[in-house]
Amino acid sequence: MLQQEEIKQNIESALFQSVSETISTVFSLTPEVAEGKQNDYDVICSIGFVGCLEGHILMTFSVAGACFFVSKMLDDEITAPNSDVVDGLGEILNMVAGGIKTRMASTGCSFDISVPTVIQGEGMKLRSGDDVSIVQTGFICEKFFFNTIIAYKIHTDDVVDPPKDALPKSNIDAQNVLEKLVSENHTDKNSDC
Amino acid sequence: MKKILVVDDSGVQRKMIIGIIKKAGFENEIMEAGDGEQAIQVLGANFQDIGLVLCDWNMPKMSGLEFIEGVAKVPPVAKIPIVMVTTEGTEDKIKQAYEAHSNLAGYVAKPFSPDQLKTAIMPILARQS
Repeated sequence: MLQQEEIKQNIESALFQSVSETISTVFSLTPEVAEGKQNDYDVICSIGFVGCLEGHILMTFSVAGACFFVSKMLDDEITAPNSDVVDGLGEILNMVAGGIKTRMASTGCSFDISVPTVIQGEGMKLRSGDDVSIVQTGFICEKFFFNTIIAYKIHTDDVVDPPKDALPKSNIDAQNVLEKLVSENHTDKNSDC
Repeated sequence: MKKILVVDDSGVQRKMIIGIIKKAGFENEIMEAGDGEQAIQVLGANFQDIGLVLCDWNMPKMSGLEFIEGVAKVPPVAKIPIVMVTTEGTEDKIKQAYEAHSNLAGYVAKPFSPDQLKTAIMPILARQS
């Protein structure tokens, strides 16, 4: 059974590596760890997770930083938050969280992650309960500061195995629907069915 | 020239993937779907024209896993190359995907660079041209 301190170190390492990998792969930029903390946030992205650990992974940005990163993703110039910015930030967090999940799984600590949520406001602050552990690292990239935070509890006595496929099944039978559509839309061109 | 179907619930992710495909010089027409259910409809209606599917895993309504499981059971569409493009990068998940569709044409873990995506799709599109 991993000790609390070992889990914390694994999380810190997974967070740093995942952020570095995401920013360098997607944006061809190198984030650097920033000294000091930012305590007021304009944009918060959050994704929940449950399993061996449960909690939230969050990333916080300034509005300008959010627009900068999504502009780079889309090779476009976005100057004010719009639906693409919300979607893009969610995707950045998704990739960072996925990387943390993959790295933590290799240490024996598995969990599943939820879908991302993005909240925009001004001067928001984060609060957490006394029994929640926090790992937080600030980064700076092209003069934009962003924070990555993991707030978690460890299931030490009651390890929860994530379900094999945590997503609920669809209401439709994919095979059935596909067979009907293929039959309706089959034409003689390139017919090798 | 066959079409490419991009399946991802993120509009930004679809735009990024399409941008990479276009910048790489591929002129295939691109179709899009925002979840597995939509992908079933698009694929079923256009299966003879689609030469490649790029598919995310975690999507609302129907996951990418459920989508490829269904596709694998219908012979005329089962042979269309599908490349998973997903944040699910653990060995367990990769194994799960290949068990769901034994002829999966590739697996690209997010985050990916433009070159990584191009490497995965170029051989497939080259065979078709």
